[in-house]
Amino acid sequence: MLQVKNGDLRKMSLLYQRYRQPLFAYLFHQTGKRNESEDLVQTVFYLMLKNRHTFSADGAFRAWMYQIARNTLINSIKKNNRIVYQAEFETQPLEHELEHNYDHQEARAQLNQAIARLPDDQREVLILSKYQELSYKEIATVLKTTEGNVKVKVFRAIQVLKKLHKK
Amino acid sequence: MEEIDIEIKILDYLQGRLSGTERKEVEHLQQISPAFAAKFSEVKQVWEGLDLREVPDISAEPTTGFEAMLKTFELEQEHRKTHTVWRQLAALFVYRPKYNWAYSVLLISMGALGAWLYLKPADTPVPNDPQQTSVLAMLKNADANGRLKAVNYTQRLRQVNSKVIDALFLTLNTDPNENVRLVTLDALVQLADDPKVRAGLVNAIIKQDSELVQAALADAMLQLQEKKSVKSFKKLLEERKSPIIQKKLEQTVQQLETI
Repeated sequence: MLQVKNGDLRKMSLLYQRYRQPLFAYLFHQTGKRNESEDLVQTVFYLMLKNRHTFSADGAFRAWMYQIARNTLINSIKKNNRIVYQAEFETQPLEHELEHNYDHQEARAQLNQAIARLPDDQREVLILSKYQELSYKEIATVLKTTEGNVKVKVFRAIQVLKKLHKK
Repeated sequence: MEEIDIEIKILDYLQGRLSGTERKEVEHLQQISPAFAAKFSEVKQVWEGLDLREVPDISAEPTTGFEAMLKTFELEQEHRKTHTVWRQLAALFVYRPKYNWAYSVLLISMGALGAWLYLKPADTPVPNDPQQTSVLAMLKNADANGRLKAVNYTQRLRQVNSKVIDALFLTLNTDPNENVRLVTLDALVQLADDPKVRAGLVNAIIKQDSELVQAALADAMLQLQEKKSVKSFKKLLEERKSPIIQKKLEQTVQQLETI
């Protein structure tokens, strides 16, 4: 990213190859919409190019990228005036589920519902921690909070899921 | 240790974030404490259960979009650089009080030149305007920076005669330097109230081999709302182009046709 910042814009292609899927996954987890997530991936890369001067040499790239992705997502939600996101999570069978694996589909649908019921802040830290594999420190940077606060939110999310799991 | 610390430690264990010693500590606790073992199993079940949620692979479509976006962005940056060069050149002509003496010398010289032109024998052809003559000479400069200065200088002239306009069009259509051509285009757009200039700009479209200049001309035609340029752009579109300029020209034609 430093090379991009210094004017070698072509190097953005390498970053795109490396981070498009994780970024798409993050946005898909948040929006539950494939097409929308793909559009947002492109917007995030455009904004990274446009705001490349804001990347600091000693800063962590992933935290910076997810910060931009998060802001892009928030703006998109505001723009589209949407409140409920997660309830729309696409639950079409995945390719390997097409072999009549009903139980698997059912369990996945239940999990999606459970995650949808989490408060927004808890769901967000859970996604960043579990699926994006960001450290607590990185998550704290993305959310502009403390590591301790991130841990509390992860803990609370797990408590909620445990209760739902027991039902 | 509080419950939150215990569970976070278990999560760290499950995510492979603990050091060797810490891992052994967790494994030891599982063996000696049934309560901890139960908690571990509960958290593990929930955490690993989250793996059920799967994400499809991103399709190839955004990659194509990204490449186009990157190319456009690069073109824009290149264009911006050109404008920066122009701004720097323009700054040379900004009035600076500390150069008072230089301005005075320049004015006296121009006055003297004017007087000489007025008083000189009638058998010598009289140029319309010494400044415009200077511009014409500067446009023939071998150095690209000299030509850039000349083009920029035309914008300071109150009136531009047809010789200067012709020279500007010659520069736009034949100058080997792309930046000079772009700056010339901007200068000509400023003169587009003149129908001759508008017609010249339309004619210049098919003479450009640089995609950057073609794109700048497309912007200029949209700015001037010059519908007559549609035919030229369509002709340009018959040639093979990069996808980004192809799209830009198509959009320009589409927009101009709706005017």
